[in-house]
Amino acid sequence: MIKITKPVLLPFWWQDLLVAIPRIVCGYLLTVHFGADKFGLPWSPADKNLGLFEIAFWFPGDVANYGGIFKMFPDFFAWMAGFSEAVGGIFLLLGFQTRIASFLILATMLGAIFLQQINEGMWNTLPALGFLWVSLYTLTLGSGRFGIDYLISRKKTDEKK
Amino acid sequence: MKKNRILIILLSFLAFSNCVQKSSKKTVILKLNVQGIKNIESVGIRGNEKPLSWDYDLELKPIIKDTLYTATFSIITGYKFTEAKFTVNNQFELNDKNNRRILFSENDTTVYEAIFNIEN
Repeated sequence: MIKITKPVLLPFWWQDLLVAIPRIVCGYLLTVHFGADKFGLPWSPADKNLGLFEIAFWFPGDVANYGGIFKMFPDFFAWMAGFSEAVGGIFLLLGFQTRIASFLILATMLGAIFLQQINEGMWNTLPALGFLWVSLYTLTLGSGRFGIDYLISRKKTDEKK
Repeated sequence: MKKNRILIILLSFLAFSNCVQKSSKKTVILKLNVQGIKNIESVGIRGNEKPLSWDYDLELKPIIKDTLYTATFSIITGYKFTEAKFTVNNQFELNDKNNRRILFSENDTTVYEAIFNIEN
């Protein structure tokens, strides 16, 4: 587990700070805007009428339209996509289990781009592409110095010594 | 131990993944006052959710011609509201203003009364 958690550190702290900015912004946008609209969290808009950890009623129907395995398990895939954005977004923001969150977000964004948005034209793929690029480098680097993963991995390394 | 942990996580995901917001059928009865508007050829409503659309009207029929129009439609939704705007002769009301929010009553049927181009 420590291998997944331990971030790759860049040579200088300010480099870690620079790459943390898009990670934090994307995490915030995912959890507060994109995710919370369709996945129930305490900060989901009240008029969406979503219970905690509930996926919006319309989303499994959209997912089923992708066909194949998505049509067989629409509730599961819809819930996972909502969870990845809403909860994965918080994890990304905090730099907590960054690689796991990044993997979930990456998979969700690939689905959003190639199964949904690309049918509406390239412009519509831009938000999901943005999240995809960020999740790619956070999957590789982890949280860097500015995240909870750094504190956890440093503590575990100290304990081993 | 590690296998058990993974199994518990997987089972939790499967259990949670059944958490889909409950939806129900909501019927809306619209009553629109268009008094004062001349040469009315069509009255309609456009909105977010089927059978409403932003591309075409759901037609309102006259109760009293050139004065009071009505339509009834049903939506299957989990939300407490739907967004819409009325049209007269295919021209939207409330230009540059927010959409109307039709709040559903706790009962199955909601009666929504409005005056064209005036916010409730």
